[in-house]
Amino acid sequence: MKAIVADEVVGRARSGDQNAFRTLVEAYSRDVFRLAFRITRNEQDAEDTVQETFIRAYQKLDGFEARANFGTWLYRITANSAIDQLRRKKRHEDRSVPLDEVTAGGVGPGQERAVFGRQVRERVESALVSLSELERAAFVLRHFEELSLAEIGATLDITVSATKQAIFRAVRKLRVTLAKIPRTAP
Amino acid sequence: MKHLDEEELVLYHYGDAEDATSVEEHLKTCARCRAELAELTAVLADVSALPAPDRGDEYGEEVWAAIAHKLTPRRRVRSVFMLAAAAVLLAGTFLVGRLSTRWNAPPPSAQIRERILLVALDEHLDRSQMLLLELVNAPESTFELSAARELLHESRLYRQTAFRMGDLATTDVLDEIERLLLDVVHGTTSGDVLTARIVEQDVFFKIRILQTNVRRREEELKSQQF
Repeated sequence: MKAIVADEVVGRARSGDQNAFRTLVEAYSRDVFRLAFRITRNEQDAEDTVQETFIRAYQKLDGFEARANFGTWLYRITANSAIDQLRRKKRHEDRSVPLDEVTAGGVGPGQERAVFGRQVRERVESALVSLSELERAAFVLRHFEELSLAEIGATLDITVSATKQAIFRAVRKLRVTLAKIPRTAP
Repeated sequence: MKHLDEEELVLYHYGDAEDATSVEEHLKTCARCRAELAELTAVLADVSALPAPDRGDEYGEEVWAAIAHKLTPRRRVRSVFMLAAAAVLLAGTFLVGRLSTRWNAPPPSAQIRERILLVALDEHLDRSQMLLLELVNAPESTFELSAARELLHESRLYRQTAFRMGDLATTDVLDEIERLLLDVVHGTTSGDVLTARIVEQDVFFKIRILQTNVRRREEELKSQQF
């Protein structure tokens, strides 16, 4: 989490000050959304995860230790809320990835290059969606958020060894799916 | 020559190799492993390039507007240790037996202590219900272990106190909650089986009935104090 909020604000929120909690929501929402999206790969699921994360955080504030880092604590809730969101959704419907909703970054000049970039993104998106919830969460936390293996284990309530295995499986699946992508545009 | 396996390459890529120096030494002399690492790095670079949508500066306010009405004022926190101390303190004046018609008005200080414990028990039932609801909604979930452990510890305290005071009805409900939490913590029973048990045993209904009694008693004590 990039947002930094004074410990004093966290302390006031723990004491039941709703305005202080509002400050935390406003400071961390964008970061929470980004992490939620990277795990769920779906904007609506990520939006739902953001709300659930802050509601859970509010309910669990009593269990937050003042010496801990609030952002790291929020990571844990976000990752687990995102995983729960995926599992709930999997039980009710087949997942589909609304690729059109993803805002593309700069893709360089030329139509062919744009099409190539889009194809690569679709393959990567498809590869990520093929990962299990745990593999995806562990991979995202290591690859994008750069948490240590121990931090990921603590976040997902699994051992460091299980964390490594989840990341290994994720990387293996990604390599199998993405290995054949040509590295340059036609 | 023994080549690096994929797991060693992944650990090295992320800076997690236990002996990075020996990996680097090997890479200097092994073209095949260098090629493997380059391919792995390229794949992960493709993943890094995937855009994630960004929300604007106003997003935090939108989130707050969406959740503010769902937040109920929190009660001041009690740690497990404080709850344990409260349970010991109240061992002689515990509430649950007093939920029955056998109630005789206790002295004011006992009433205050009883109210504190009633509020704590009510909150404990709330949190237990919430965790079990999460379990029913997502039976595969195994990520609330620390919360389940804490609830299990609390539930045991309340059950033991209720039992000592001879309130078997309350003891039974807390016993059911405790057994479920125990299975959640130990992971010995699948989420689907636990869900079926929760439904078959009407656990949510029993919790609500107990909470109704607890709150009624709390209101009685409140009205007696003012």
